[in-house]
Amino acid sequence: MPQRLNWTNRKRIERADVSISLVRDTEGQSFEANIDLSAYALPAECVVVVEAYRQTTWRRFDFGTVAFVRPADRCRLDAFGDSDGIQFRVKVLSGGRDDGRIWAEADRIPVTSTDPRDAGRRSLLNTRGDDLDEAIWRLDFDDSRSGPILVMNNRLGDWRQAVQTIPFRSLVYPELFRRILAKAVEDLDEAETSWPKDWISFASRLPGASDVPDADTHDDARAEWVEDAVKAFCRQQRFAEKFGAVLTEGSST
Amino acid sequence: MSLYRLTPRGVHEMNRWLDRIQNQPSTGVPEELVNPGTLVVPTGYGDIAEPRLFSTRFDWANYANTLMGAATDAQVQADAGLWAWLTLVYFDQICPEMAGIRKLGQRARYVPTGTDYRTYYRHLLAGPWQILSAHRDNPQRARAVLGGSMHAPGDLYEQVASRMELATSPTVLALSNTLYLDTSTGKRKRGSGGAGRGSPRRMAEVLMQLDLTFDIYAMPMEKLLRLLPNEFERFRSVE
Repeated sequence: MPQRLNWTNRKRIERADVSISLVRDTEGQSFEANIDLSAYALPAECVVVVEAYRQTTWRRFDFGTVAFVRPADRCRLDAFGDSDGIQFRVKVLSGGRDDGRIWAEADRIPVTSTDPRDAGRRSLLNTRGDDLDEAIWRLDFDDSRSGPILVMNNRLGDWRQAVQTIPFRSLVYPELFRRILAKAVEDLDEAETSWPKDWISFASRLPGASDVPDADTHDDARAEWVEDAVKAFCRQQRFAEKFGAVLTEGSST
Repeated sequence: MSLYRLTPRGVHEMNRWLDRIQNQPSTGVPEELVNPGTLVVPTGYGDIAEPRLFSTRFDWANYANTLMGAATDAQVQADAGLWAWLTLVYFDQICPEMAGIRKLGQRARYVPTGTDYRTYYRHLLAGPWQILSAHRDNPQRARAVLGGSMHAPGDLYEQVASRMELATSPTVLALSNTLYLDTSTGKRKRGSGGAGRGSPRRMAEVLMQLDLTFDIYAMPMEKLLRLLPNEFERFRSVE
């Protein structure tokens, strides 16, 4: 694996030390951040900020100093409308001595779900709505670090509901899984990306999945591993059985 | 006149019309895509005066800012039908006939691409509005970046708007004014449209490098200016 040089001396804050969760209440939506900087030996007076961004919508929130990390106020996200696709960045900045220098940073932090069913795990696949003309869905890899995004046609109305239907999951998810794993295997050597490892780890834990390919594995063997993983995923989800039941129900009405 | 939006069917018909005028470039905008009807419906946002001429995208963005009434930025930004309808209302300015021919550009310049980060900023009307709405606390900051004409955004816009880190930074937009805006004329400085030394393209490259080390979003503009290499010397304003 190629060695990476860090000319900036900027420290990378690990994902495990930052979590962002959304809060929805009668006043709208906001976020809460848990940031643990104790392992980075940063000067206590350095300023901590959290940035929320999506396209040209961008907000910065003051989170105090390294010595005392806490938000100055409620972190409202009303400017973003819905929360689809919002990402977060944590920066630790010099506190006045050498203003403008970044001491440490964590970027492209996704929201941790607050759904109790998702407790202890985070979503591997982000979704967002977009106008896709007459197409139903598209898989995007917006950039190499943020991982795959399932883009749904917002002309469908409640497209989130559409994603949850058995026909959609049965027909689309295997192909999604196939494309994502193929890309994950291809990008596995990228040191700055974590999503390929997360997806491959997920696939490797499926019942009946074969051994995970390493960096030296031949392309054909990698493709074979992807196909095995897709089969294992379909078996686990029982797609044919569920989709067959939907067809039977449809034909009986 | 109220602000309207094209229905999804209307956007589909608009695309078909754009396909047609690729081959028949002098064709006028179909009335059924502008006037209220089955393809054009009210937004409920606000009213629009009779179409007027804008000499720069900055002027357009300021005007657009006054149109949206109580609609939130998030609503307006996501309203592809609105931007498609406005495109047709102002089509003569954003795709003018020259010698009897309309020279069409990339489709994303006319039909919004929603949240596709690679092309959303290229929409000739929504793009400037988005930049200005990100700098509503001081719109003058966007003068240089939005200094192009309605149909020709210019390379400074392309270089800044295509990078979210730059487009949202008050410091970077202020720097763009300092480097490329002639304050005596309100227009961009001569020579600021090229790709060579000290050009907007080089500025974007240098800033993305500095972004690794410095908080270019909020640091003082004067400090950022001092960090630029000598190649930008010829564009530094002499006040």
